[in-house]
Amino acid sequence: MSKKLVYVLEDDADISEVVSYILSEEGYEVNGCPTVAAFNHMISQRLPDIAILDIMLPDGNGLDICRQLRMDERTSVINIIMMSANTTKNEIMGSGCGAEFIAKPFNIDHFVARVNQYA
Amino acid sequence: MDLTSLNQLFTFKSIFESLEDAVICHDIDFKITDINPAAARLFGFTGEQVGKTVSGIMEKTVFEEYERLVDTVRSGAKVQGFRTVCRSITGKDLHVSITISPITDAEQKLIGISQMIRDISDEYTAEEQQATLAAIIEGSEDAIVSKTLDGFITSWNKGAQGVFGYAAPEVIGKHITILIPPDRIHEEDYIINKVRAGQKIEHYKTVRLAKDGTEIPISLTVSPIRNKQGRIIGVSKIARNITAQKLADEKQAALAAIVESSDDAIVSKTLAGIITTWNKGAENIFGYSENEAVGRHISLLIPPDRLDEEERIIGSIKRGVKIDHFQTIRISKENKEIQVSLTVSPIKNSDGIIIGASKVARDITAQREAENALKSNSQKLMILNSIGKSISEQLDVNVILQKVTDATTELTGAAFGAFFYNKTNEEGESYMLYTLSGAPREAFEKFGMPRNTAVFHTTFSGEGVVRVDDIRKDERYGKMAPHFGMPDGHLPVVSYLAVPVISSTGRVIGGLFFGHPEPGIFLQDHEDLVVGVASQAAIALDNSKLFEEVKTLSLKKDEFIALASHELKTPLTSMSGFLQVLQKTASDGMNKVFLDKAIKQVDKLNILINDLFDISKVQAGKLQFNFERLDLGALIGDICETFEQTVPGHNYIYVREGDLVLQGDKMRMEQVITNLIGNAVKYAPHSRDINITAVNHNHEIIISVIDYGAGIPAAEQAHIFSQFYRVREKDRNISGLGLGLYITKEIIERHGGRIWVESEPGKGAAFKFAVPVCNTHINI
Repeated sequence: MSKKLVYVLEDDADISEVVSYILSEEGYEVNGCPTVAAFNHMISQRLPDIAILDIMLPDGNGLDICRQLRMDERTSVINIIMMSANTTKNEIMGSGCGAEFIAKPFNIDHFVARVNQYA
Repeated sequence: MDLTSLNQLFTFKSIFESLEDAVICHDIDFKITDINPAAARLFGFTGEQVGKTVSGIMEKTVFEEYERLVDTVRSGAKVQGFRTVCRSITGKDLHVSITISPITDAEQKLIGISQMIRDISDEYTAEEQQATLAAIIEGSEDAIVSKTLDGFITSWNKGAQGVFGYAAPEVIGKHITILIPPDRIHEEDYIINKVRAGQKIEHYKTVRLAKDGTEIPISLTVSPIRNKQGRIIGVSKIARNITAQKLADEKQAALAAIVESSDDAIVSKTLAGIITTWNKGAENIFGYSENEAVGRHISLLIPPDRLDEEERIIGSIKRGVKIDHFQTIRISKENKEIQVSLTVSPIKNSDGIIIGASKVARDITAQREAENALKSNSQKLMILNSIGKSISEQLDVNVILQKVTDATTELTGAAFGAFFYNKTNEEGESYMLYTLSGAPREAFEKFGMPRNTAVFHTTFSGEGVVRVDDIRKDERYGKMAPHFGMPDGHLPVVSYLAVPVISSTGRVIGGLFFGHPEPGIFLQDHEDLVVGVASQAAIALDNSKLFEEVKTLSLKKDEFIALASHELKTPLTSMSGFLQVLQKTASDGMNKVFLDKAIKQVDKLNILINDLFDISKVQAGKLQFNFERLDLGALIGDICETFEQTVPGHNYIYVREGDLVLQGDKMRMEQVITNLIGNAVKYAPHSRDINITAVNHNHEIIISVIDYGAGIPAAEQAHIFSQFYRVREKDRNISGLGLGLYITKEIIERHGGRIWVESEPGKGAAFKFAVPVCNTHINI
């Protein structure tokens, strides 16, 4: 079985690094990108199984990306996990984009459990 | 008989017959012996009576009187000049004087009686008249005085004493000038000259001096006194004291003057309602002249629907009952309604019979108008008060300005009113219309906003109020191209009022403008009212501005906290991640212990940041909840387990009872339970046991977290759920921002529940909350 592909859209390099490390250790193929533009480019090249999206990004909002992915039939099957320092789970639920949510900072065990549900 | 005796006899006979007085002689038996011709003349006696008795020619009563007189004479006394009344031959009663003499013979023996009767009627009448006159003179209240032609007083009656105060002896013989005021001395010459000429002076009104020096108004009648020969020998003077009459005259004149000069209508009428008098006031009020009104029926003045009032008024007057201050309406000649207050009184004649009515009508139209003005002023005050109240309660600028514009337009009676902001467009020309009252917005839009003209400049520069009866005649008007005045289609403004609205800092916020198509509508009162409202509006607008500023600042603060929280959590996230990665790979020993501690501190830091972020959301009302079916019992169990692992050293004794499922936000409830147990751990570090109980009681789930620490003094208990509050004694050693219980309380309340503390200092504290099982009370 090939490795599941995870895209991590996160502008903070250190967070991106630690998330990538944890998921790589768990056996995922992880591609990180710091901007919406880069993310969109990656999506256009290859679809991931799971997308982990930060919300506050330098050139956009993770929730918008989430909605955009859900609306496109091609991308609507991607499992999305929102990750944010400020936005609570309630707001993610309220935004109606059907995503998982992980608050920053996170407990590694909880985080891995969330991702693994899509493995 | 000798010759001498005979001659004597004839002489006597001749005298007897030629006497003017009647003589009747009779003997002692009253048999008539002789009657003289005078007796025949007076009483009609003839020779036939000679030889008969006297009683035959006298009435019985007269004879009896005569017998007594004769008895007197017989006894030797004389009867001379006895006055009585006899009836003459003509049947007329004659006043007579009777002298009765005895007739004796040579031996002095009484042989008869002669009675001599003298007719004294003329004399008697004169006496009687004089006595009557004297009585009249004495009884007269008028002063009756006589004087010589030289002016010396010769008589002075009681009346004269009454009028002038002098007694008769004091003035008789004195000169009349003692009664004449020095400045009227000349009158005496005039009077005397007239009298000397035989003329009489009648009702000559003058003034004389009384004994005490007071001037007495008198009416003089002066007549000459003539002697028998018709020569004027003196003057009689009748002086009537006319003080009382003069006073009465003056009083009447004064009354007449009052009636005539009264502003009230004073009218009299008969009981049948016919007008009999009509004063100037009536003419002024009702418009009819005296000639037009007198003789007409009073219903002339009564509106047709009030005609019954007259019947009631007259009915009352006939019963002698006065009507006081009856307020009604009457009609003037010009058919104008006049508000009057009527006072109607009966007029009685000298016998006390009611013969008519006097009517005083006061025009109270002005008074009514004043009352109405007062009423309208008090209404205005009420409007002002309500504006003040409602705009001070308002923070919304739009609402404030609309209320102010509407109310001031109503107060001033303007046809339309508007508020313009003191902001010009980029070209510096037009002012910004904000609110309008009494006219549609299109009325302005058709020709754009008002421009920066001389008329508007005064207001927006804050120079003061502009109030003009006719703006078209104002020198500031019509100076600006292209319209040079109001453009076509402009609202028809003639009366113009503009009041600047100036903030407490002196900035002109804008202006209130009022217009009316008729001239002279806006008065000082209106200006004062609008100035008052404008100052209130300025305060309200200032407040509103402050509120907006505070709101903006608050929003900025929330944004900042959100950003700060985000920025703080970003390094925290990577730090926490790396530490956890290390922790997983580290072998037991010092490194692992330190890593555990570092991770715990990172978690604490995260909770503090979360609290800060939550509090800003609570204040902004933006704390969001996600209600779902929540097994609170199980959640508490999990949390206790976590505490056992992460915070060892305490016994977390959890007792649960009954169904503990409710509608709730799992994350927030977790936050609450964690906070309460965390507090117990923090504030009762030496309390070994921490009891957690959960029960379902009466459709409420009640959770208790009990420690056995120092407890909380009663005085502190009320404050511990407040923001930033911490029990003081412990503050120094225990970390925390004092936000936990505040946020906890908010979360519980948003679940429709309540939270409280029970504590006895020294024995510990029990924090309890109750949330309803069913979710009807949830505040989302």
